[in-house]
Amino acid sequence: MTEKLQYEQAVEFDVDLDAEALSIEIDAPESAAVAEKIEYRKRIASDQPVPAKKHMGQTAKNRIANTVIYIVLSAICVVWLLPFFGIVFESFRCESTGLAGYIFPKKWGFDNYVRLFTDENSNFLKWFGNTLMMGLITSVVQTVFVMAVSYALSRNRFKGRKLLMNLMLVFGMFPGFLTLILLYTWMSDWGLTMENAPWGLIVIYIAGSGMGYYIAKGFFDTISHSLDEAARVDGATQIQIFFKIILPLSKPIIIYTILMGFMAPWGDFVMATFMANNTNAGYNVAAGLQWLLTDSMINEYYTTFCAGGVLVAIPITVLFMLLQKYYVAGVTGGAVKG
Amino acid sequence: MATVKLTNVKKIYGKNVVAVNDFNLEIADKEFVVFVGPSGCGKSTTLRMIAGLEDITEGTVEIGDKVVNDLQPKDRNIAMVFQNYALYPHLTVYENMAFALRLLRVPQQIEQKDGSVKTVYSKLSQDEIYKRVTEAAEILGISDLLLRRPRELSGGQRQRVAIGRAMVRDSQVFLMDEPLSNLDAKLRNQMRAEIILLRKKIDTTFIYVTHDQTEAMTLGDRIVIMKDGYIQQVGTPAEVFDMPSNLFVAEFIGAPKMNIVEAELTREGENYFVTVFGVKLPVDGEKGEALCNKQAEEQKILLGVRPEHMTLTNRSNPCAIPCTIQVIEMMGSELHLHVLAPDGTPLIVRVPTVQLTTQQVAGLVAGARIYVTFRGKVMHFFHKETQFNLLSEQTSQSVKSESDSHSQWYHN
Repeated sequence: MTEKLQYEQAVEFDVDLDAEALSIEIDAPESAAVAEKIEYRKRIASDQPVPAKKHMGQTAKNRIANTVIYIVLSAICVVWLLPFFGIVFESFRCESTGLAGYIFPKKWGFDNYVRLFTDENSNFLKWFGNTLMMGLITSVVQTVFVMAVSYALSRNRFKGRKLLMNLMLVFGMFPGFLTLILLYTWMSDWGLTMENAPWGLIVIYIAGSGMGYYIAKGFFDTISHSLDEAARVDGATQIQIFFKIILPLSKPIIIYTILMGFMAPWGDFVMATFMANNTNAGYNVAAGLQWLLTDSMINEYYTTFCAGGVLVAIPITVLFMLLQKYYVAGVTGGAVKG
Repeated sequence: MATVKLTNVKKIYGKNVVAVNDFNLEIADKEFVVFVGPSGCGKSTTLRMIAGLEDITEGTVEIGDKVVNDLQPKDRNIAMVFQNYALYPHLTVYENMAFALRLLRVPQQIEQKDGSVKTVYSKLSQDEIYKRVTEAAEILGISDLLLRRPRELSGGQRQRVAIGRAMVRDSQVFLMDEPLSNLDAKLRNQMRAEIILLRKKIDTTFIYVTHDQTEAMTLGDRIVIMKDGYIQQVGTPAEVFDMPSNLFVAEFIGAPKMNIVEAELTREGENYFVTVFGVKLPVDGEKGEALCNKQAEEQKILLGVRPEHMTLTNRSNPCAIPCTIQVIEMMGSELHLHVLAPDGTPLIVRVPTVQLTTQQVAGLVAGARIYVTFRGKVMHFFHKETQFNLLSEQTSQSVKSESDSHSQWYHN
């Protein structure tokens, strides 16, 4: 089409390229101003760069400061690490089973670990199994809840949204064990206490899990809304956007939520003890191991308790090491806008 | 491949924040329309209402003769390119482009055994998707990037993928929301040229939002200039440049912006004159005739002259206005002289360096006094109160929209 038009309508212009330059006049600025400018330029040109002064003794000062700092940090480090090493060392103590006034065992061995699994009083496998089951179920269900609640609060605007968010924050600050008696009564009515305590605890953990929306919502908030909009234009429904766009981008926060859900039962002592109500088979590890420390048993089982503590720490530590990068990304990612 | 028609479209946020008001526009099939205006003028909101990402408070939006107010974006048969690309970071370029196609359900008429016809919605085949994606990639020159992820791409490449993702869908309307504003200046110029070429290949209706008047002028078949939610002027690039309907458009289009000075319009028989800074200039040529045809009255006006339409002259010229140079910007091919008029009004004068001798250029220094003049045919006359162009024809709509927005604007 352009080729056809090319020569049909030629337009001619008569422009004289040799036209003379514009006839213009310029009145030079007053001489005083110009003189000042020139003076200024000269001054700048003649200025010598100022040599930087050397601060003598700087390195020596640094060395002293560093030494002091490292001494203080080392002291803090010892205080912080001692309990960990203490527990590990005591778990290998074979010469006695009660409290001892020293840390390093006189005789090393795995006796305590063997007792943990074989002693008639220690129901460790059951406690460990209870806790593991609670951790697995809670982490999965809780993650589903948290993701759903966070996504809804991040992406949808509905009446009472702000109020709901604030209420959940306030309720979250309410110490959970104040509701202990009430919860126990309910769970007991439903038969979810004593040896069924783990199931009752799962219900309790999951019921309030949506309140932990805050970090995940902060993370979702950082995902650009134009991704949602692009997906909407591309024909995705809200469910499809959630599963195909948002969730794949939220791996760090999903893993963080799973980790949090998995860890809660291992550290819960107050609620777990109360729900089990002195039923050995309903204990989680924290309650069970604590039971080994009751007055009548502490002299016989203190080192066994230490061995249990070490065994409990292992899976959590391994999990953390494996998922550490996601954990950090989850916390910081959520913090950007949280 | 469809017309778009907006009738009395209005957008109110919350209770009384009016973002878009009385938006009336008909966009022809395969037209390239640019919405341009300063930030907060409602241009993006309007685009998002067309896309279906924003509810329409009042009025109707029609795409291809069908009112789409209550349709979801996916049912409007539109494609959109976002300012920040909005590529799915976890998907490869191919998957990004195929995303929409995988969700697409194509209606098919299937004749059943008993003779009745049943409509079945079926997915596109993998082969079809592959064909469409690779074709689009070919056009955009991103075929070798298909297996990469967005974060491995440069800004320009991401932009191309974003356009490609919109292209594969064969939509009726192509919406672009400031697609170039995230690119650096050089790349922006390059992509602008590519969009012009691309437009010939895609051949569909385009609506393009930008705050950059250069983009608007170079890309648009028609430009819609907006301010505070109201349309200020709709016209071809030449129209809005030559005949800005009001002071806002005059200052918005063109860079550096038009010089505006207070002046007096007088008439002697058939001839009009403007008196500015005590200098009386004749209004000759087309503008003089137009004023005559309009029977414009003698009045105080705001006179607009573009920097490139001013020229330097000598003292003896009766139309010379003496000015003092404040700042000189050497652009290579031209000089931008920021000068002060006799009454202290700042003016900008663009002088092509080809018109000056080396000696003359050397003489142009801050503080120097020069003589400036301009011709009647390049003047723009604006009413002092309403700020309308004395020569432009006001549609009832823009008069209405002007009445409550202009006065407040000028006093800012």
